[in-house]
Amino acid sequence: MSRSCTPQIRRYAKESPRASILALLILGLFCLPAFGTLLRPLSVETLADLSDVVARGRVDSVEVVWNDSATMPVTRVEVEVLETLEGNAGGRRLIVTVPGGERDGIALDYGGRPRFSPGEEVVLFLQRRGGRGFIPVGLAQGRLEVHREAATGRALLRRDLAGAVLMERDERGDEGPVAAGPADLEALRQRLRARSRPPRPAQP
Amino acid sequence: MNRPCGGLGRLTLLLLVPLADLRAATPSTVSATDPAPITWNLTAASAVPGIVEDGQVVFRLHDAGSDDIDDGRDLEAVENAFRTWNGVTGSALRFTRGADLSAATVLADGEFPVFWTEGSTVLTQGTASPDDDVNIAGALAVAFVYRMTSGPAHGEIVDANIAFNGVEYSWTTDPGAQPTRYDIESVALHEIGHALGLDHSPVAAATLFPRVGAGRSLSRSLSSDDLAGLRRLYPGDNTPANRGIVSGLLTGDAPIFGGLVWALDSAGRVAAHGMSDSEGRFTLAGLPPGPVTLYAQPISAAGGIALFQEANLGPYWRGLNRDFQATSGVAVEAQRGTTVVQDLEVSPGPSPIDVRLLGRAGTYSNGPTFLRRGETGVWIGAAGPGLPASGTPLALTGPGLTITGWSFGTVAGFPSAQMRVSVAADAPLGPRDLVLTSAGGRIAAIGGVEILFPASSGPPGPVPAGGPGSRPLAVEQVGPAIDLSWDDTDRATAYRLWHGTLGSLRALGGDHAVEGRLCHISVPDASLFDLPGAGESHYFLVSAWNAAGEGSLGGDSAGTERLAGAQACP
Repeated sequence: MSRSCTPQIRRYAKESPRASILALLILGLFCLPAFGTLLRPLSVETLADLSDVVARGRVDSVEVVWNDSATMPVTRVEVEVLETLEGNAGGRRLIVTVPGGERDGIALDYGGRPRFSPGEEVVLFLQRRGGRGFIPVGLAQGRLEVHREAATGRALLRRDLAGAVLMERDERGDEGPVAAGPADLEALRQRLRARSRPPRPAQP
Repeated sequence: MNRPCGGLGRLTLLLLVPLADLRAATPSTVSATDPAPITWNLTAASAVPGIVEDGQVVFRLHDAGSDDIDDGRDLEAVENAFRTWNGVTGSALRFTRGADLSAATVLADGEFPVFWTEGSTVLTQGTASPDDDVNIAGALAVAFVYRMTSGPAHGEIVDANIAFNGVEYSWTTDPGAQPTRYDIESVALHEIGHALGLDHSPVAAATLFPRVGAGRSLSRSLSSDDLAGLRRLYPGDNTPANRGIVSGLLTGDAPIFGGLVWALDSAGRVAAHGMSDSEGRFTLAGLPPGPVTLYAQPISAAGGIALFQEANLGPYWRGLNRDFQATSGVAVEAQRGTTVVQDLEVSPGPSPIDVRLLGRAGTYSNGPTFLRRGETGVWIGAAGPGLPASGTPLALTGPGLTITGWSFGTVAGFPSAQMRVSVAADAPLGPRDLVLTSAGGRIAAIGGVEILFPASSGPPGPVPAGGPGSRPLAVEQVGPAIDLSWDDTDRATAYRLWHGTLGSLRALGGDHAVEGRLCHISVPDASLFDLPGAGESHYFLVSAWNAAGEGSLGGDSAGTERLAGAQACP
């Protein structure tokens, strides 16, 4: 499944001895820098409208592989489903793919790229892309971290925008202030229950 | 149709001494653990074929552009943004437009496309599996950048792609007339900054500041901080010799990781910023020779509304030390071709004050605001925890501003203070700090208020006309600035300023509104361009444009129309 380098980098390798050496290097996954992206805050209701499945789960594994044409590193995340908040996850395990990551000495990054670590608990807003595969909706806005409050066990939600930034209100007040998301899991459940789910517009 | 050489002036300056490496601004880094910057390799021997050709980075525009614009101005606006980055003297980076595309992806495929996604926020790549699909819902635009993380090409950018979201946002090339739409040129300028290797800047007036609002076009030009970052990554031949560097250690009880360090020039304008690394080292490069004042302060707390916080930066900048007090100013003399060492010591303990929002009364945001020369009685203010509810807790750096009143209140749950400001007609242009003080602390919105020319008004008017040739252009060095003035017989709406050697004039970026019959532009010295080398003559060219952006560089001595960026007046 995974390839050693992209066609572009292969071509580069042909013409550059440095890149030939580089193509031999295999590195493990580690966190990568973010690049700028300007994001409009999406409410959980909007995120849910754009999603096929909203699920809480635990990240089992994270691996960076090449896409089918070996032209993009893709992060493949396996998630054990702990709770389906909306939609039909279709089983106990989900495969979520996210363009970006580092493989074989080449990395793709962009602001707002959702990042995952094995063992973490997350709430995901997901769009089905063939078979059992899903992609996050709205870049990093489609991923909420779940943290347990030590004293009470309350499940708090936190959003990491991975270098992306929610937009300001402009001089004419066109943008609202940064939207406050639900503070905890129970509040998220209530907000999802309270909304009437409209038909989701088709996306190819 | 044309005319314009408003005039040509000549400035010759001498000097030169060798200089050390350049470090400043906040470049994107190779990884969370590797702070090395990432750049395009512009040398033919190692450049990636297909994107870097003849030392220039080739971008390609999707010919469909934006669905919101059907007259081709969308593609022109994107190209203008690339030209603005091209126009920076003292930088070796040059972009060139390749053949347009009829399809685009974000793959590493040897092409650097700029395109709009329309119809769906899911970017598909045309490959067999949907694994590489990405849903950019909510994003205004995204720069996808590929880089090498190991080996001899470590740190090289090898592919880039910029996607605009045409599904959820409306776009314009005229945000003045369509204020609810997003300005293509401004957003393109920002994303190109990422595609060349820059991370976000904490300087609110910088193009690389992370936020933009609909209807704004103030970011169509680059700030001195953006230029310092570009020159740090791609220094031109004369850049090291013409500019100054200040470096040092930021320490409290121990080295401070992630402290914001910046320099103000003698007019109180932000010259450049840097951040202290994990060993407390900071470097401010590209400084104009002369006196500057250094400051340091912690980044804002994570979460909630803030001007700039950890999440605005790449993952190298995580776990930053916020547990220290902002410094007062330390005066340093920046010297050409020389690194001046100046350590900064801070007091430990959390800052008792922070700035979260600023702006004109009633329009606060966590972004920059502006004042125009000649404005009187404008209420501007700031809000944040720890701001006193009495006294005079706000100040703007630099001359030309008069404060005549105060009020206090609450904005978004934070205490706020407003001051009534009048701006002198000759107030130095550029980004100033808005400084908040309390009994025990100080914090600045770095570059939070930009002083601009007065707004132009009225219809576009005719394209400035006139014969080729020169009109007298007076060039005078006044302190750190260079003043240009000329007789504005044509009453043009705006002027563009060009600078460089004969045969390689480059735009200095931004339109300058007419100030009166006798036109005048104050160029803040080396913060905008490289000074000439020893024995070398540099020229200024002022070209006139109308409010619709129509104009030209005028004709040469043979009466032939000059092309933008090509030749100077003979």
